[in-house]
Amino acid sequence: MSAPSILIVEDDAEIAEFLSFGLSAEGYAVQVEPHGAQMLERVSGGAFRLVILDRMLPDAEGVDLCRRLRAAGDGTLVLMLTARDALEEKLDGLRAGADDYLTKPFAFEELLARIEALLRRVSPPPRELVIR
Amino acid sequence: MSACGTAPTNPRQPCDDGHGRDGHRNRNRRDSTVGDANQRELRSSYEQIRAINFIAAWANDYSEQVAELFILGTDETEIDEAREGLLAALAVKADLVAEEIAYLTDEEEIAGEQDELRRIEAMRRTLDELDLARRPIGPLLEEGRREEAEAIYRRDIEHQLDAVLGALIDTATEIEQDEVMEAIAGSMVLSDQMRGLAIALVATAALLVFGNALMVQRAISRPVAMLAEGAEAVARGDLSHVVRLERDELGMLAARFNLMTSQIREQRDRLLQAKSNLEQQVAERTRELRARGAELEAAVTRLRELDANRAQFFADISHELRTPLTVLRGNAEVTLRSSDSTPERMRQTLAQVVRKADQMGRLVEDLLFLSRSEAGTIVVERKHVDLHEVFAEVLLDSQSLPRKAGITISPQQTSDPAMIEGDAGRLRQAFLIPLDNAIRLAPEGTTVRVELGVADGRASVTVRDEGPGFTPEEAERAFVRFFRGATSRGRSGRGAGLGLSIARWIVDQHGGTITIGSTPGRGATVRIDLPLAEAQT
Repeated sequence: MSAPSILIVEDDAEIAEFLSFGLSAEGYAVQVEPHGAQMLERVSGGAFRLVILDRMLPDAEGVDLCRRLRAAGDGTLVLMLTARDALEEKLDGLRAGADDYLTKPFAFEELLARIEALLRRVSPPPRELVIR
Repeated sequence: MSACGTAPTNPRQPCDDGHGRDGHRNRNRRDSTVGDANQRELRSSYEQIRAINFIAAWANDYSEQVAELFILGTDETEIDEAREGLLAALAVKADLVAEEIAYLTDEEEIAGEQDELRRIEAMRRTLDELDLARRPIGPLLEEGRREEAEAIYRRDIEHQLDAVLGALIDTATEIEQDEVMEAIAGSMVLSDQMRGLAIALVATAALLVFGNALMVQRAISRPVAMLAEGAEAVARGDLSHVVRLERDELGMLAARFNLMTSQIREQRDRLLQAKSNLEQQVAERTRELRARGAELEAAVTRLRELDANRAQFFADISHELRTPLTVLRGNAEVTLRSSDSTPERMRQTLAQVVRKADQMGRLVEDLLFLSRSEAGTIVVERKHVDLHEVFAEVLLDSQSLPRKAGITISPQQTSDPAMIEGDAGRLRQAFLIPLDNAIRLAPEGTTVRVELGVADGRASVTVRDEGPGFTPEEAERAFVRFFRGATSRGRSGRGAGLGLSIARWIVDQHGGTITIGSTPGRGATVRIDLPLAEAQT
C-alpha cells in the first residue's frame, strides 16, 4: 500500500513549508497548492486521500471550497485549519462538510494524530450531500 | 350728578330754599310794604344777591353737566337745560338791574348799575363761547379721542368758568354786599321788617357760602370722578391709564394713584418677564433634552459600531498573532521531531524563529502604538524639523529593510528648504511605512521612487511603486487596521496591515494629509503632505 497522499492548500509559504517537511518526514506523499481556486481541480478523481485546507485564502474561503467539493460528490477527507477559534466558525466548517477542524497554532503531534484517525476510516462510505 | 342727589332729569338748583326763581313776586311785595329808602336798598341788594346766587348755581350745574359727559356718556339734553337755566338766571338779574336803574337818580349809581348790566352781558357772551367750545367734546368722546376732549374741557370750559364767569360773579356779589353794608350803616331805625331783612340777608350769605361750596365741589367731584375712572381702568387691566390732575391735595392723590398704577405695572411686567423666561427655559430644556436624546442615540450607534469594530479588531489581532506563532511552533516541532535533521535544517529553523519573533515584536509594538495613540499618551514633539535630514535618515533605514531581489530605490529631493514643526522620530516612522510597503510588495526588478518636494507652503513625501496597485475600494480601506490588499496577502512578509493606520495618525498629528493614488496594475502612489513652519511660508 503506497503512502497516503495529502494536499496542503495554504497560501502562507512558511506554514506550507513546515507542514510539507514534517508530513513528508512522517512518510506521507505531500503536495502544496497556494491557490484555493486550483484545489477542486487537483483533488478531483480521488487524487488525494486527504486535504489540509486553510480556511482563509486570499482568493477563496475554505468553507466555500469545502462545500463545493461536497456538492460535487467528492468524499476526499478534509481537515480544516484556521487562525480563528470562535465556536461558530468551527461549526461552520464542520457543517460545510469538513471531517475535522484544527485551530492555529496547533501542536504538530496533534495534527499527526488527527490525520491518522481520519485515515483509519477504512473505505469511507459514498457520501450523500451534507449541505444544510 | 347734581349736588343734592335729585334725579338727573331735573338737576336744578340743588337745594331750593322755597323762594324759587320768581323774584318778581317778591319785588311786588317789597314795593307795597317798605317805604324806607334804606329798606328798599336792602331788599334790592338781597334780591340781587339771590339772583347772583342762582347764576352761580346754574353755572356750576352747567359745568357739572359738561363734566358728566366724560363719565356718563354723551346725553347733552341736561347740558342744554343747565344752559337755559343759566340764561334765565342772567335774565332775572338783568331785570333787577334795569328796575334799579329806573329807580335811581344819582348818575354815579346809575353808571355803576350800567356796569353791572355790561357784566351780565359779558357773562352771557362767555356762556355762548363756552357752549360753542364744549360742542366737540361729545363727538370726540364717542370717537374715543378722550385726551383731546379732556384738553378742551380743561382749557375752554373749566378755565373759562373759573376765570371769567367766576370772576364776574364774584365782582357782582362784592358790589351787592357793599351796597347791603352801606344800607345797613345808613339805616337809623331797625324796624321789624329791617330785622326780618337782616335775617334774610344772613340766610342769603349762607346760601352764597353754599353756592361757593358747590363751586369747590365741582373742583373736587371731577377729580374724584377721574380717579374713580382711573381705578376702573386699572381694574380692567389697563395699566397704562394715567390720571391727569394738577391740584394740590388731589394732585398728590392722583400722583399716589399713578405711582401705585406704575408699581402694579412694573410688577405685572416682572411677572410677565418671569413667565416668558420660564417658558423660554422650558423650551430650551426641551430642546436640550431632545438634542441629548439624539446624541445618546448617536452615541449608542457609535458604541455598537465600536463594539463591532473591537470584536473585529480582536479577531484580527488573534489571527495576526496566531499565524507567526503557528510557523514558530510548527517549524520548531517538526525540526525537533525529525531524528535526521541536518545542522542546515536547524539553522534555517532558528533563523526563521528570529524572523518570526521580530515580526511579532513589531506587531506588538504597532498594537501598543495604536493603543497609546487612542489613549492620547503618545507625546508628539513640536520642534523645528528639517525634512531633508529626516528624508536622508529614511533612505538609510530603507537599506536594511527586507526587499525582493532587484528592486531599485530611486530618491529625489528638492533643493528648497523644508522646515516644519513636529517630531522628527515620528515623521521618520511615518515616511518609512509606505516605503517599506512598497519595497516589500513591488515586483522583482522594478523601481520604487521616493521624492521630497516643496510647493505652496507644503512639503510632500511621495512613494511611488510599480506594483499591482490598489483598486479604489482597496485604496479607501488601506488605512483600516489589518487591511491588506488582495495581492499582498503573502503572509511571509511582515506587516500586519497596521502600518498605514499608524502613518495616518502621525501625519494627522502634524496637521498633514496622507493619500493613496493608484490604478490597479500600474502601481500605487502614497503621498504625505505636511504644512511648512510659519517662518518659512
